[in-house]
Amino acid sequence: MSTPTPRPHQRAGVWPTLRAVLWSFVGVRRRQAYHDDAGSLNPLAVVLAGVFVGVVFVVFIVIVVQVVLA
Amino acid sequence: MAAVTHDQLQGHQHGQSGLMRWITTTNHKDIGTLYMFFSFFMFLSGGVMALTIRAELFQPGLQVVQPEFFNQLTTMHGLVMVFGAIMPAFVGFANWMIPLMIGASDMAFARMNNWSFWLLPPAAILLLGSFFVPGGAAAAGWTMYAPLSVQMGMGMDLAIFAIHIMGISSIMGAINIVVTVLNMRAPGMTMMKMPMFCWTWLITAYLLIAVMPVLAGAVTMILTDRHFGTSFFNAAGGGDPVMYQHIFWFFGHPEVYIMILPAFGIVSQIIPAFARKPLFGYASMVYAVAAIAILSFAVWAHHMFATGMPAAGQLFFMYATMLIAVPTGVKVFNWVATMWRGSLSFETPMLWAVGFIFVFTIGGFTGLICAIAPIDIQVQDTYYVVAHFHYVLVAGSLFALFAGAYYWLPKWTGHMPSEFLGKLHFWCSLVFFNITFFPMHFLGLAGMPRRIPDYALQFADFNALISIGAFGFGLSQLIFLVAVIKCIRGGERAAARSWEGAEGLEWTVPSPAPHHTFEEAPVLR
Ligand code: HEM
Ligand SMILES: [Cu+2]
Repeated sequence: MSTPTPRPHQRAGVWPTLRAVLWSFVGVRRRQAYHDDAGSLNPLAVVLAGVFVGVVFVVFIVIVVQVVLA
Repeated sequence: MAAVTHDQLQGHQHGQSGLMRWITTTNHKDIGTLYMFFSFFMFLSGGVMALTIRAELFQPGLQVVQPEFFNQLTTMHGLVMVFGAIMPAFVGFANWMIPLMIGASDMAFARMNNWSFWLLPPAAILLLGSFFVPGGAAAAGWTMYAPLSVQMGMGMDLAIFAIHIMGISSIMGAINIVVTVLNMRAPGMTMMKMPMFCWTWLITAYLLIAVMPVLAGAVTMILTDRHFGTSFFNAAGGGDPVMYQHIFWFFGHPEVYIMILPAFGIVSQIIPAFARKPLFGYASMVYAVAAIAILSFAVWAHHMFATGMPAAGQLFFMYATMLIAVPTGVKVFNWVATMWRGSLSFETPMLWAVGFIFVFTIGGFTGLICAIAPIDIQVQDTYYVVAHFHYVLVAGSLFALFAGAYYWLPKWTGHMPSEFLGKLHFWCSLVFFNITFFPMHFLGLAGMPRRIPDYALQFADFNALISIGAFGFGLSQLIFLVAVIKCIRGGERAAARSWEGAEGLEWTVPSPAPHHTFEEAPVLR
């Protein structure tokens, strides 16, 4: 079935991928931005970015904890 | 089952009939039905155990059961409810609804689907049968902490094997769901058009594949410690019992999301239907659910604050837990915003969904309180924790399951469920639920430990009240049984679109859904 909206087939770069993942950690995202993501993001890149940001999240809290305890 | 009778109307020929039909079925609707009947049976079994526990706790002192048996009851109640009732019920919903929602003709691996289900009855027999072996059933708590679990009798071995089998079943079910959602969508059903229930189940399925092997590993290590001379958790042999807790909760915390994300999905289908508005922040929801799935691997030790962690560890798990509550809170906001200025009506499914939001939110807040390390040192292993997880599991997962059942019963049976019985079931459940579990907060704060058959006199009044509430809640569930049986046998005929505001492909097929649907992929605008 034809999708009326033309699907941009160029792949999104690192920053849009990271931005989508970062928004997900807050749990808020504009519908239009989501549609753009869905058209352009590479699923594998999103998963990798997700795991990566997950690691960054952990490291970030570890640093905060070190600061609090110092 | 209505699906059966309807089949004959459709003039389909099936090789098997009677019992063999159900044993050999590869039809996603049949298998979904089997899952749901199985889980309801387990729900009643676990419920009988709970009521026996509450009968014992009605008064201080020992009246009904011996302490050893009491411990078996608390353990088996937890295992049966988590692995026998809640999880299979959600898999049943997934089987019935995901193919209908995405316009697929069946699940991707239909034979494996059959096997996923038929592994469960043997597991249930191992679990329930273990009450009758020498030494009785496992009694180390549903968490099966070492060293207790290394010491018990053969009931523990049976529980371990049951968990192995149920784990295999869950993993196969999850693989089936992932492949179905990714590969079997009708043309035009892009990921971003997928109903929320499919999204939440897709992510839940990944969680299952990731953590069920961890649980299997943990219980296998107990098994080898018990019988094959290893000392993973045995301090005398150089092992570490606390390591068991780390492994268990690395499974256990994602597991609580496995039990709540599909509930979020169901509620996200129902609220828009009865608010007659699209889900507010669909995109945010998808993102939040995905984030929760990743972050849920980084918070497990909030279950272990009392085991003696370094301050840095306590702070880490405390901060991480509080941050992960943010995407969860956003969802509650989204549901409320969906209802805001909608044309609301409160048929039975909507009542359950709204009740879910209200009571689940209380559970979320008490979770946050448990996550504050210094407070948790006080409330850990008290009734406060029991109150918390029943607010999220009973008022969360179970209420959402009831909401979903009333919502899709017309599609399953072809008849509208009785509004009177559904509403009676809801109000009785809501009132008795709160009578049962709200006072547990006070008991916990006052210091009453969990998992004990007897207690100090000052806790007597609240416990009596709780036991009365518990029997009320248990008996109220029989209303559901009656409502479902009545709905299967007759009642107002359901239209294809059984609820005025319901959206989605499942409402484009007749009610009851014929045995085979979407053999030709539907056309999406
Ligand atoms: C806002 C979200 C949540 C937070 C912050 C949270 C936090 C916690 C914490 C800190 C504990 C440990 C308490 C203790 O043992 O002292 C706990 C226990 C528990 N939580 Fe949650 N929780 C949340 C949501 C959920 C959900 C959604 C479920 C399941 C549907 C759940 C199920 C459980 C269970 C079963 C236990 C007790 C396990 C046991 O000891 O047997 N929680 N929660
Ligand atoms: Cu947890």
